[in-house]
Amino acid sequence: MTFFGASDLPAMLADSGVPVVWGSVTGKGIEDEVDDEMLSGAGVDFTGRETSVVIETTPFAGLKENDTITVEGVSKKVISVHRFGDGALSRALVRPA
Amino acid sequence: MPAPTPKDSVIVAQVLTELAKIGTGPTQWLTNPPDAKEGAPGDALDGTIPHQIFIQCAESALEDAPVTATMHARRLTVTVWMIAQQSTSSWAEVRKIKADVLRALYAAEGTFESISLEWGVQGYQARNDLAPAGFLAGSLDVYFDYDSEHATP
Repeated sequence: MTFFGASDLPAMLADSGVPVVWGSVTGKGIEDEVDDEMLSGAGVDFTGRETSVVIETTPFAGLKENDTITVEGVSKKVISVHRFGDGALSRALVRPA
Repeated sequence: MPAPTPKDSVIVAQVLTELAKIGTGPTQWLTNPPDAKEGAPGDALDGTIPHQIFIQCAESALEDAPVTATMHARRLTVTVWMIAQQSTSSWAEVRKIKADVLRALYAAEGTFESISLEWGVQGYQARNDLAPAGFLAGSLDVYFDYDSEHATP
């Protein structure tokens, strides 16, 4: 599948991204780390740290839950991979490996 | 003479004491979490701890009829939150914590009966709300019925 404007993505990610390695695939991704109240019950709210990396979908096609990737030199386990927007970019949620 | 400790607090403290036994002593435990704490941590959950337990005094309800003119029946519900690091078998890890929690609570049956009229464990609920942060969770409600004296609740 070809995405409109996909040729601009490597330059965009190269500008603000960090190295992402998945097996023999290397690229750049934008890493985010956000603390968010995720689990609520009577009188309690548990906060989790959500770590994600936005990557180009096509080179990382096939990346899936429980795969290991390296983000900026740190090994991570993939929790989930979801496409967003027109699908040219995917957001991988990760946790410490 | 100091005012007596509120009954709910006595029960919550006893639950914490019993849950702190998980992972200790000769019992064959499935998990080794840090001591359970009341409430949720203010910061994000520690992603380096495989198993965690928190409790919350979720509800203290007045039961229907007064026992006497100076005493009412109450039911305290304590929710036990069990949180496991996500892995390929993380739901099984949550169930391991649940098994240890049940083992610890039932081992204290006599103690709980000494501070309440009746107690019991209600349903288990699986929660995946923390999955984006790499955790899976479950909760158990534990109830304690007791007579609350109006002068020393």
